[in-house]
Amino acid sequence: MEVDKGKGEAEETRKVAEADRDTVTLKSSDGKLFEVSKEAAARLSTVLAGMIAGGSIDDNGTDLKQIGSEALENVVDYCNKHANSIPSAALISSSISFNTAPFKEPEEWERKFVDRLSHDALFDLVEAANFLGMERLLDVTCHKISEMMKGKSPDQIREVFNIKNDYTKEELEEIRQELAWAFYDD
Amino acid sequence: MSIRSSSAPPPPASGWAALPRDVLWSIFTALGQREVLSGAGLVCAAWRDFARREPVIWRRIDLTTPEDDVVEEDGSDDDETNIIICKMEEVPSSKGSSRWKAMTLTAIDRSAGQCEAFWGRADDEVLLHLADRFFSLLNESFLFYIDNSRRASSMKSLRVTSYSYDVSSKVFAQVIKKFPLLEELELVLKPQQPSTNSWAELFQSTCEACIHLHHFKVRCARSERHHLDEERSSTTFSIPIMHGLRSLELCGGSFTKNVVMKIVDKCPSLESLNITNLPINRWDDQMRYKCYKIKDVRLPSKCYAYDSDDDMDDMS
Repeated sequence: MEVDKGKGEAEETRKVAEADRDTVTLKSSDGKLFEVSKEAAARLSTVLAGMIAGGSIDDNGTDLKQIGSEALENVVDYCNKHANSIPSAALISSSISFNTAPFKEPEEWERKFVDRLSHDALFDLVEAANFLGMERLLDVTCHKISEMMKGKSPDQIREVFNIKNDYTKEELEEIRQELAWAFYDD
Repeated sequence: MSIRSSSAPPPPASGWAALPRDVLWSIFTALGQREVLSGAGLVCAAWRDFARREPVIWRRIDLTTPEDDVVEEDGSDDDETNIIICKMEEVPSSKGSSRWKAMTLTAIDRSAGQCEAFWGRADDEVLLHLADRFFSLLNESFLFYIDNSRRASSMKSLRVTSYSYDVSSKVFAQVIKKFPLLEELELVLKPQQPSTNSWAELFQSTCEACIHLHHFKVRCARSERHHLDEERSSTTFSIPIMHGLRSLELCGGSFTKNVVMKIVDKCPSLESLNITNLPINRWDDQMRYKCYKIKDVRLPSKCYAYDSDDDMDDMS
C-alpha cells in the first residue's frame, strides 16, 4: 500500500502519468505517501471526492496533516479492500424514514478489519474517517466502539477507554438528583 | 429529570472524551438509548453534555426490549433485569417510582419536543408527558413567534407496549389528538385485568385525529370484556375515509363483523388486514366480496368459509 517515491523520479513522466492515473497519492502528517484507488476514494470519502472533483489533488501526495501514517494506512487499506469487495445491499443507501435504522450492520470483512485494531489505532481511525467524511467507515468503527461499551457501567467504560471521571462536585450532585431512578431497586 | 440549562458546557476534554460530536452521535446511535441513559451517557462531562443537550439523539425514542414484542398471558413485570444500573455513588433509594418510567420520561424530556417516534413501554402518565412536551414548550416565549403549523407535534410513529397497564380510553383520546401527523400506531397490551376498552372506539378516535395513518395495530393478551353493547358499537361506529391506511391488525370483541366491514369500506388502500384475533366465525360472501382487493387477509383460525345470506349473524 505504501509507496516509497524517491525524489529522483522524473518529474515529467509523473505529470503525464498523473492525468490518467486511476489512483491518488495521499500524504500523512508524518510525510508518508500512500496510494489509493481514485474511484474508491471518491466513492467512500466526501472530502476526497470533493478534492478530486475540484482538482486539488497534489501529484506529489495530497497533504492530510490531520492524519497520522498508521491511521492513513488503515484508511487506504479499507478503501482498497472495499474496492475489491462485492457491493452489497448494506451499502445501498435507503431513504431515511422513521422506521429505517440509520445504521447498516457491518459486513464480515469490515468486522475483521476493525477487530484487529488496538484501541489507539481505532481512535485514530475513527477520527480520520470523520475528518475525511467517510460515512461507511465511520459507521463501522463506531459500531465496533459501541460493542465495546455494550452492557457496561460508566465506570467500566471509563476503564476500557481510559477516560477520566472529570465531573465536578456540582455535576455529580446534579447527576445524583437527575438520575436518582438509576439507583432504585424496584 | 427535566432538561437543565444551568451549568456551563464542560471544559475541553482530550482523547476518547473529546470525540467529535458526529462520532459520538454515531456511537450512541449504534449503542441504543437504554445504554446511553444508563452507561455511555454518564461516562464523562463531555459525553453527558452531548447526551443531554442533543435532541437529535432522542428524536426516535426506542426503549423497547426483546420481550416487548411477545404477548404472553401472564403479566410478568421483570423487563428491567437487563438494564445496567449505574453505580457511581451510593444513593439511598427513597421514592418508589419505577425505573423504566423514569428512564422513559428522561428520554422524552431530552427529545425537547422534537420526537418523531416513540417505541416502548408506556402508561397514562408517559403518554400525557409525550403529548405535553410539545405544548409545554409553547410557554417559552421564543416559541410564541413560531407560526401555528410548526406547533403541531411531529410524532409519526407510536408503538406502545404495556405489561400491567390497560391504556385508558379517556387519556388515549386526549393524547391522540396531539399527534395529527401520526402514521403508525401499535398498541401491544398485556393488562392484568380484562381490558375495559372498546378498541373500535379507540380506533375511531385515532382515525378522526390522524388522517395520515397508514398502519394500525392492536394486540392484547386479554380480549375486551364482552359486556359491550355490540349493536350500539356497530351502529355508531363511523370513521372518515382513510386514504393512507394500508395495514390493519385488529383485536377484541368490539370489532364485530359489521364494524370490520365499515372499516374496509372506508380504507380504499388497505393492503393487509389481520383479524386473526377477532371473534368472527364465518367468512361469508359479503365479507369475501368486500375484501377481495386486499392482498393479505388473515382470518381467525376457527373461521370457516361459509356461503350464507346476509341475515346470518356473525358469532361474536
